[in-house]
Amino acid sequence: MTLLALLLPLGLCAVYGALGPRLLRHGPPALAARLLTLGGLAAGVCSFVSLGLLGFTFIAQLPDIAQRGHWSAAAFRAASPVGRSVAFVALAALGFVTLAAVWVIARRVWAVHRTYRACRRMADSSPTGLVVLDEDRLVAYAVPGRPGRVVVSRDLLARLDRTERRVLLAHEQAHLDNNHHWYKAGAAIAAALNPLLTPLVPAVELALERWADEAAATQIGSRSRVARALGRVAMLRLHAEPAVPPVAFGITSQLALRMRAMLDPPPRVPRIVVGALVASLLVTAAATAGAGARMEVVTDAARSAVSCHINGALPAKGSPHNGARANPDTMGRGPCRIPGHES
Amino acid sequence: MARRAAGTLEREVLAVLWAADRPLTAVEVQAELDPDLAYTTVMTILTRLLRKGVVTRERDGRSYAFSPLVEDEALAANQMHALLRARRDRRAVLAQFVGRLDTDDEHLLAELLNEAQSVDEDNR
Repeated sequence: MTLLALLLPLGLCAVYGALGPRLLRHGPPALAARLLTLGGLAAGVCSFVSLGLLGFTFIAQLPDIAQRGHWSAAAFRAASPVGRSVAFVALAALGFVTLAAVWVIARRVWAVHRTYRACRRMADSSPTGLVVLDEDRLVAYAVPGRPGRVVVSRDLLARLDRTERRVLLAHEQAHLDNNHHWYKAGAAIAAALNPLLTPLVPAVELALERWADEAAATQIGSRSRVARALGRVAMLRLHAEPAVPPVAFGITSQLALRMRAMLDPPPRVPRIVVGALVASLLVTAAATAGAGARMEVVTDAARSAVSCHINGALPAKGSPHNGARANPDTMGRGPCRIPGHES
Repeated sequence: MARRAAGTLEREVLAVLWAADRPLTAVEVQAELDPDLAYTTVMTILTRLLRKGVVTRERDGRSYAFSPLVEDEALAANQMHALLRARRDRRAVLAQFVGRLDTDDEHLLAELLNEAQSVDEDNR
C-alpha cells in the first residue's frame, strides 16, 4: 500500500506529461497554461517528496544513521515498503533531480534578473513600455520586467497595416501583463523535478502564445484578424530573412496551430478534463502525504524495537545484529510496538 | 471598438509614428491608428508622449507634425541588443511574436493566411 502510494506520483507525472497537453489542447489557453504549470509543479513536487521518502528508507538502514536516530536498522528494513536496491536507486534519482532543479531555478532566476535589470535601465528612455529597434530585422518580443518592455523593430512596424500592428502590440503586452515568464519557469522547474513532465515545457509555451493571441483578439474584437496578423508576420519573415535566428522556441507548426485556433470557434472549458486532472492531483497529493505519515510510523516502530530489544522484550523482526545497539537514551522508553502491527 | 487603456494607446500612437517614414500630423495619426477614435483623444496622447520626451514635433503649415525621438530610443535599443546576444536560457524568458520558422511550412501558412483573409472579408 505504501509502495503504491510512493509510486503514484511517478505514474501521475507520466500521465500528466503525456496526456495533459493533449487533453487541454483545445481548451481556453489561459486555463491550459495555469493547469499545466501548477499541476505539473504539484506532480513534480509529489514525485520529489516520494523519491525523498524512498531515499530515506535507504539512509535509515545505514548503521550510523540508525544509531544516531535511535532506531533499529534491521527493524526498519523489515518494515520498509521497498528493498534496499530500489531505495538506493531512488536516492540516486533524488540527488540527480535535486541538482537539476537547483540548476534550472538558478539559471531562470538569473535570466529574469537580467531582463528586469535591462528594463530598469530603460525606464527613462522608454516610458511608454514600447522599445523600437531602429533596424531592418523583423523582430518583436516581450521582455519581462517591472514594468516589462515590448520590443519591436522599426522595419516590422513599417510593414504591418493598422490592425496587424495593434494585434502585435496587444499580443506582446498580454505576455507582460500576465507574467508569462513565470509560467515558463514553472514548467521548466516541473520538468527538472521529473523528466516525465518534460512535454509540459513546449505545451505551456504554446498555451502562453495562444493566451496572448486570445487576449489580442479580445482587445481588437476579432479572432480572424489575429490569425491574419500571425500569418502576415510569418510570411514577411520567411521572405525577408530565411535564416532567422532562433530567438525563442516557437516553431512553424506551432504557428499553424495558433492560426488554426484563431480561425476555429472560441475554445470552451473542458469541465470533465479539468475535473479529472484536479482530482488526480488531489489523490496523488493525499497518497504522498499518507506515505509520509506511514514512514513516520515505520520509523517509530524501528525506534521502539530498540527499546524493546534492550528491555529483553520481543526482538525486532529479522536479525537485530547491527541495529539494536544499547543506547541509554532510549532505554525503557515507549510502548513495544512491532512494525507492521498497526496498519 | 473596445475601449483601450491609456498605456495601450500611447504605445499604439508611438508605433504609428515609428512606422511612418516622415513626421505625421495628428489627423494622419488618427487615420493610421483608428478612424473611429476621437481626434481629441489622439491629440491628448500625442501631448502626453511629447511631455514624456519620446516624440518631437515640428511646424507643418498650420498644425504640428510628430516624429519619434530616435536618440533616446537608441539607448534602450542597446540594452536590448545586450540581452539578445545573451545565451539561450536568457532568451528563453523573452516571448517572441513569431518564433523560428521553416520554409517547408510556407505552403501551410499561406493556406491559413488565405482562410483568415476570406473570413475577414465575410465579416465586413
